[in-house]
Amino acid sequence: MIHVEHLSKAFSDSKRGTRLAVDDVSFNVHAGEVFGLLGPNGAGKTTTLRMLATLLKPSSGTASLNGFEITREPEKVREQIGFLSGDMGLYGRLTPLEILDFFGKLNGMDAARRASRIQGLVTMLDMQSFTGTRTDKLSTGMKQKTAIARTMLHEPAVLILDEPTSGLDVPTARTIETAIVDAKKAGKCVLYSTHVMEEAEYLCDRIGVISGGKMKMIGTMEELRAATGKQRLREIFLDLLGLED
Amino acid sequence: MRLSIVNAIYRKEMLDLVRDRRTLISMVAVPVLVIPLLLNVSTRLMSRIQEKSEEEAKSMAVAVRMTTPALREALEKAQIQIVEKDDLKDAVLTKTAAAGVEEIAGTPVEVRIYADNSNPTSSAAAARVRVALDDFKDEKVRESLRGSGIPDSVLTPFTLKRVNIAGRGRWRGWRGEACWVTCCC
Repeated sequence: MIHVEHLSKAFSDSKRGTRLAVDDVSFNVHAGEVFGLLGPNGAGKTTTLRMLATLLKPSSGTASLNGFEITREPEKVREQIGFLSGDMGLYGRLTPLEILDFFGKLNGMDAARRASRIQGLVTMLDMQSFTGTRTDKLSTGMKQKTAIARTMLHEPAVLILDEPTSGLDVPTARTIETAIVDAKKAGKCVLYSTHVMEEAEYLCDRIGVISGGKMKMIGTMEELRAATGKQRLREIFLDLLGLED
Repeated sequence: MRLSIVNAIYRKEMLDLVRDRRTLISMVAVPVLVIPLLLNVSTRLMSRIQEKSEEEAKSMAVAVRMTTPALREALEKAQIQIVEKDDLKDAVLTKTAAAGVEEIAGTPVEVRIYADNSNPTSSAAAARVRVALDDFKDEKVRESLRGSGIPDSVLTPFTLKRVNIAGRGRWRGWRGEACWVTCCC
């Protein structure tokens, strides 16, 4: 589903010169799998996800999603993915229902499919109480649920989620985690970045630890434990970063 | 891009727009309320300035330098106060006179009216002087015609009157062809 090969991204500015944000990263994510990208701030997680979502052009390397290469067929790639960015990108003066309906239309969904899909997502994400309220009047959790619903609306084969539970309370985070598990059960390929170790441990089939733009290690929890000799993901993560707990 | 997508984006943008109070104020309230209000205020203000200038023009003297008594009488007949000055332009610019009138000998005699157009009072005074002298000129022409045995009516071969025949509804949707000019000979 997602095939990333030697992907790199360099940024240049007059003050800091050229900086390699993502350095020769390779990994695969399969259908029905949740792959967690773990890393400290500035590790290159968001840059990697943005390149896969065709929002950034890679400096070198290649990646394909559901068979479509990100630089050669960006439109086709966008049709395959649901991308949740950190800033959510919601329209403040529209209600969640209006936003979902708008994005449904953009994705070419007919009225009946839109209505049934929106109804299903509203129920799944427990959004009934605020679907008619303007988005700029909603709490962070409500906005995040709306953004997740928008990401999943057109039933994309690949979900790319950039810190979907960041800043949310436990019940809201749990609802979103449940939605991710449901997507996995439905055979979706989920690529997911997070800071929350417990969440990654619970949700992810495989985890990739990224630091300084480089992929330090990829594996299941058992593989990571075996390689590092640590038990908890927090310890594994710090060990891979060369830090003591 | 498919038409349905264009339509969806248009509808979303319109919805977004009508819910944006700041945009609504700048797009609707300002053109509909504020601009007409400002225009109304400025028109009233201009009108008041004009009225005030005309009043001032009546009370201020006009500087003159002329030799023909009939011209001086024509101005006095129009209740224009006159004062003799050597430098008419200076009198107007220093506002010791609202306007200046100078008679320059020759055939025909040339009468120059000096006005400071940046000063509404001066312009109004110059307009009063012009009307008074035009009346005087017309009267002189009539006298000459009468002296030659030609009737005054030769000066008015026809009158011109414009009549609007558009109804109320048509007037709102203005049509050029609805206006007729009739000449009454």
